Amino acid sequence: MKRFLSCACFLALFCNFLIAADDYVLGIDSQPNPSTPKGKIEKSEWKSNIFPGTVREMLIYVPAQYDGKTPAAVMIFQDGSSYANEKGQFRATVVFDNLIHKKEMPVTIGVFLNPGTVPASNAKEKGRSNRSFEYDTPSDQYATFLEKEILPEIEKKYNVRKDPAGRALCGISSGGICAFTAAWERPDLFGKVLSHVGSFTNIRGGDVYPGMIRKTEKKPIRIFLQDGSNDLDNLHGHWPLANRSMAASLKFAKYDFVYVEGDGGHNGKHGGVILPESLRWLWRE
Amino acid sequence: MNRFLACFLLLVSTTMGYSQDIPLSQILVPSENWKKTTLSNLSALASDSQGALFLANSKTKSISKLDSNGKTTDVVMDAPAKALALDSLGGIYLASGSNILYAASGNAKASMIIEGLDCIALCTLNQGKCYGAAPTEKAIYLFDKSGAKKKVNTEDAVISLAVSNDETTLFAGSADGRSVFTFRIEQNGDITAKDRYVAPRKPLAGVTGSVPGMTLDKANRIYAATSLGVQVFDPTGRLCGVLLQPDFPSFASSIAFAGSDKSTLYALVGQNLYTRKILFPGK
Repeated sequence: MKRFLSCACFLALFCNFLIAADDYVLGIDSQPNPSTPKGKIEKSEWKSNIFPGTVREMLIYVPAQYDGKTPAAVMIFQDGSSYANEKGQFRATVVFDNLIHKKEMPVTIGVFLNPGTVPASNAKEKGRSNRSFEYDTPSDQYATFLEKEILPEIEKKYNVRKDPAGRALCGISSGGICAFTAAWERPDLFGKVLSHVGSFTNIRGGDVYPGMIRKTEKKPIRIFLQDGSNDLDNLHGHWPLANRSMAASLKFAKYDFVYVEGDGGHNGKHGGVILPESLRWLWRE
Repeated sequence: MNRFLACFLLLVSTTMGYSQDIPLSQILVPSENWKKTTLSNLSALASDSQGALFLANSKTKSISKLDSNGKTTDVVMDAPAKALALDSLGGIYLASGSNILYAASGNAKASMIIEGLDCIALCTLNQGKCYGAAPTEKAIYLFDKSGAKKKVNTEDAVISLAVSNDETTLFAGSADGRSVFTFRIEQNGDITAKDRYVAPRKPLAGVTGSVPGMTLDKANRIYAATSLGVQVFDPTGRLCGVLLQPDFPSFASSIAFAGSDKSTLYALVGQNLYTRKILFPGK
């Protein structure tokens, strides 16, 4: 009996992902094309004052078509290194290369930001992860971080658009609600949101958004939501229901939005496969 | 069976990063509830690393040690206390009136080490130093048993303190109940990089909240005593759930894990002591 229970616990904890079909295959726009000019990636570390004591990795993607004369659009990815991984589920820089080359999205500087960590003063110890605090908290702190620290850094180096329609935010899971929260708090800065398996649940109170959207004058934000019917159902909430509730509220409030629900779980497989069409929709004129 | 399950979950949570996303059902012992002990007239509690619980008695003005059989033995006399903390040598720091006292292990008499420092919460580091929360002057102090003290925070009224298992982070419960602050603990004990890392659930209406007591379990989950009950947060500051008050509408002012396996949560409610078994042991 004990052995059975321990096996059951193990399976329940570690094998949730087996439930989902998740048989998504990346398309041609997610594959490197030798005839497509490849953008450059610059890697740096960012120390924040808005999130005191945190350090994080930042990758900046500059498309080959960027000439410095025409202001480029800006898209900021949360959990950036997973989006920028050319062998990962999203391969965003490869998709950017292909879509920008085909003029199916504007020339766009990609900013791939990882969540912050507060390093331990004792180097032997692990630092404190700031991810949930930064991403799940429904406040203006992350938007302020982008406004006061990241955008000025990008604008110092590159000629980029400053209108909200020229700036997009993207994230997965807690990064998805983070992207929405930043745009919700500062629609004067960010006009586009792409959320993959977004955590619009009660991790830190983010389940309030469907109600708030319905009773707040419409904000000028274009939103692409993706989720999977086998996404999480845990103490924080039910991800598919939360995303459906977001979609229903966005529809009620007449937002420019799309909700796509696959049959996947809490991962980026489906979101990665549809990233090219998501970007085309998000960046359409 | 419960012990087996607890061991399994502890192994998973502490070694494989699964201390997140754990609901109350995997923290609480089924059908176990708060139990009121016969101990009363208490004003403070704290536990040591071996799981012994120390209690300050406001009537006898003594500090007693509670053994695993529920028997108490006075260990410090003539020392009323509103907060206690044990150091790694078995010495006891006491916040007594507006002074800080220290009683070395085996010494029944506590000596005043700092005069005129009004602390409401204490918390020690392994190296023997102690943090003290002084909300009336919106400060956190760091001091040692010699009485040497340093003000390490000058802007926050906090009323509870706890240190992470690896001693990299100080958690401090705000007097207004809005936040549990986190600070990075520097090598010299200074605290930096403050943020409002944990947001306790607050009452929907009416009174404001507060976080008068706090402790951690071995997986660095944060147990915060609040007016709504003991709120449990995962190591990244996400709410796992709220334990009901031991004696509604009164709520715990101080909490600590103690007992032979440190899996009993003790709560001071008013002047009475309550206990509750938890599946995960305390720090």
